[in-house]
Amino acid sequence: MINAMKVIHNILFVCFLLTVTNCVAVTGTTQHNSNPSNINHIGLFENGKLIVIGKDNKYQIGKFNGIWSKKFPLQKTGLDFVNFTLSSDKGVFLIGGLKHKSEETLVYYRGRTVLIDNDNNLINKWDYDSTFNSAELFNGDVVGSTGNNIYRLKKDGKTDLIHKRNRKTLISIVLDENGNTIICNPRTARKVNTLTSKFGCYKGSEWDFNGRWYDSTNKYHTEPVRCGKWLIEPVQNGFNKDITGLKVRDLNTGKLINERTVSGVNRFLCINNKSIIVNTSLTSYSLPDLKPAESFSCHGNEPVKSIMNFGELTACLTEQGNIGKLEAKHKK
Amino acid sequence: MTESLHYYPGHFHKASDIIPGTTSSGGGGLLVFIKNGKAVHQSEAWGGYSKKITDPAGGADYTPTPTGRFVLENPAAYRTSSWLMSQIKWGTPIKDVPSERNLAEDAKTDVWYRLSSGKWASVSKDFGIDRKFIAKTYYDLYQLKGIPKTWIFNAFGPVAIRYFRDLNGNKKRDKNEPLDGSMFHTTAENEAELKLGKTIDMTNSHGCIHLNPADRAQLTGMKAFRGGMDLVIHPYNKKYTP
Repeated sequence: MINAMKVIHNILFVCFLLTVTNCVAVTGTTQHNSNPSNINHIGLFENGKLIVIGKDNKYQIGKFNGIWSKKFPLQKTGLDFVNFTLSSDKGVFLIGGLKHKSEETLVYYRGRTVLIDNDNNLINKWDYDSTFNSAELFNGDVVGSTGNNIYRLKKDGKTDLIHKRNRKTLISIVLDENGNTIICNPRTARKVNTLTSKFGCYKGSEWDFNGRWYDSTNKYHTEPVRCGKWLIEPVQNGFNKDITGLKVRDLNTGKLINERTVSGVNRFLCINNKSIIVNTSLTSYSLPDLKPAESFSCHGNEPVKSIMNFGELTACLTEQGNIGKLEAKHKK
Repeated sequence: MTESLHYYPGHFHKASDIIPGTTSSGGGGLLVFIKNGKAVHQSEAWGGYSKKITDPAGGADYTPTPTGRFVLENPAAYRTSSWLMSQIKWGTPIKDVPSERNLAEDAKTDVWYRLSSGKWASVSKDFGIDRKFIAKTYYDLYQLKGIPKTWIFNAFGPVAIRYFRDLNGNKKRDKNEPLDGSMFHTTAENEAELKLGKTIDMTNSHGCIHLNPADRAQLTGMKAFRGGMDLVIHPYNKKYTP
């Protein structure tokens, strides 16, 4: 008890000495009230708190324009890195991996997902053979694709292998409204036979369509995404080329509902299951008609890398690593 | 002692293998190594389709493997700017950028490759391929996360065996005897399959002759792939009969 008092006293004393205006001490943890920067990933909790993972591989939990915890090393969660996050009413799933083995300068990785709550408690952990490139939530379970295998991460901490790749390029996953898997794979810039290979999406034996998006470098995010009842598919004219079109398909039938041309787009995101926003102009398009709806801003007008929403709050992360609230500027 | 290679690109093509929407057939061909009139090696090798097919996705055309008499050059690693991953020779050492070594996996942006001078250069700057794409390709082919020690993504495999029409029959390539655009080679996919002990999934080419990596090794050991070796590529409608 005396030691704990000393810790609090020391922190208060240091804060006082430094006259750091944004430094407060609560229960022995230094906290800050300026929004973190240099962020790689964000996750949103039900109560509006965010978890942010920095490019330095450290994370903080706090509220936008509010109080933030100190930085914790990501390894505290059991992960060496995070690929992306998913938000649920139980907490935020940090989907990433850990070092598996090292050979000289080379490091190999295995997949791991952890569920963390807004008080920084680790709730659950799942291990599998490789890291996920895509994942969705259904009935509280994460269903994710490593590119080769699709796993369901069950609430009891076990993992079920539910599909193995049978296509030429790595697969990503989208779930329909009933939790059925829709499997998608991109075209490739590799010299493979495109006449005998399938590139596109399919749902079991019910339907499939050919797609025209490419496996890409980090500059582009081209996997189809689910947005409410719709599957949004990009169109590209080649490897590392801008997305030139967006197509809306019915998630249950794969049927093409609408399409429109776009320009200067390398990433598109879903907002509140109702519209799609393109990362550069921050213009949204309503679904399924794809009509321009609103203009948004996030940390000024920086291009958006990812957005997370829970109820009315939509948090955004820019490609520059800044966080903000995605806010409508005006009606188009 | 007389030695020659014979390739029958349509040997395993069947009428039922017509590519939908075309009059072109696909499937495997047969490569035969003949020594003193005796076939000492026969293996499946996959050439182009029997007739030209335009790639509906706008990629390179699929053309038939050119037929005729040729002479081989010695095997050599091949590099071309025509295909993204073939801009770097197979086996070129690669490594993480030293300043990025301690960064989070997805914060790393680039990979270095070693130049023939011994200096290191950026794959991203020189070829537009970032670390994420290299790591994805490595995982796609080998199911390993991270990056390999050497470039193992060249679409022509470790070596290509090129050939030319020897117009004057001197077994040497003269100025007016250009190398044919078609060549023997393995693929990055088939090399990975062999390494992982998987079934080798051979596919028709854009006009080259795809070798099974195990056959390339065997034929190399038999000195079939050496400069000056005669090669006859027969018409698609001709089947090999011993």
